[in-house]
Amino acid sequence: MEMWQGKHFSITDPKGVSTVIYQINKTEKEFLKDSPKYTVQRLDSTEEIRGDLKRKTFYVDNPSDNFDQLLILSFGADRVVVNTALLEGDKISITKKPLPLKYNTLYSEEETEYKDFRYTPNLKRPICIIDPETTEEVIPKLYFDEKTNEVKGKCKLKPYKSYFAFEIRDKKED
Amino acid sequence: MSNPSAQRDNDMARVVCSIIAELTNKLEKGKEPGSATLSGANGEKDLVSEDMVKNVQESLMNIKVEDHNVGYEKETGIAVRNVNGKNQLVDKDYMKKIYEDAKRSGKNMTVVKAPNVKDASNENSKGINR
Repeated sequence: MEMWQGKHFSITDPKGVSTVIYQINKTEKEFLKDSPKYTVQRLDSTEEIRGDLKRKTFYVDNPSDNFDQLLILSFGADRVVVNTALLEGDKISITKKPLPLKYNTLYSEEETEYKDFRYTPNLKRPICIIDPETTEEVIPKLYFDEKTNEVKGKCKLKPYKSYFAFEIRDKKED
Repeated sequence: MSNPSAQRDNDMARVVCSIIAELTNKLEKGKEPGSATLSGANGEKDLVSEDMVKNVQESLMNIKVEDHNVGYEKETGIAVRNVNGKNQLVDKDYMKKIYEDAKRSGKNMTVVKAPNVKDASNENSKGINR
């Protein structure tokens, strides 16, 4: 078995909030031809119930030698607080002012069910879609369209429900 | 003389967020399945949720970072994390990807004997889609 060192840290989610964290990785130059400039890795986590609060431990199993940029998403009932942070050595520091985003609920009298939404991911521009209620990622399924001879994608979304999406861009890009 | 913090700032990525929602889902006659489902941006920057922001920011203060050991055996797929002397079993598909990324980036690894996985806790990962 090969062994290496990782890092971990814990936070206690405020009541009604569920936090997920992504590590932002920069692709090495030699792999840029086939991969996007940045990729994200959702941090694995374990939970411990403490009273009526959850204490979550997040694991950075492949930390960089210098620093790692983290994206911290704290989902509440109808809003999400977005933080970016730097993990450097044994410290985490929040880098910018937090961004709270409110997602509106669209009311519909009709009962709705999950439908296929046509979404073919661009491998050079990965976009992450998250269901804010469950904090699970919505991952598109790829299939081969025999009519057009193309690989296409689809994902299951519920109508009139909001989803959180993000992508990582270079600072120099517009 | 270069400014190390400015250099680090230049190395950081930008995060672009959006809230999306399906706005319509009625398939009209003659239309292909999947083509009726449209989405639109459905969020706004929230200027008033001070309480939630305050509580979240407090939870992110003074975080203590600790080390742990990560192990992966390519042949068997055994994936283990040793935290505070206790072995945790880890999802092997998740760890395989981590291992490959770590190997590619030249992470320093040592070869050890795989632990007895029966002794490892099943306190498994939450929050990862497989």
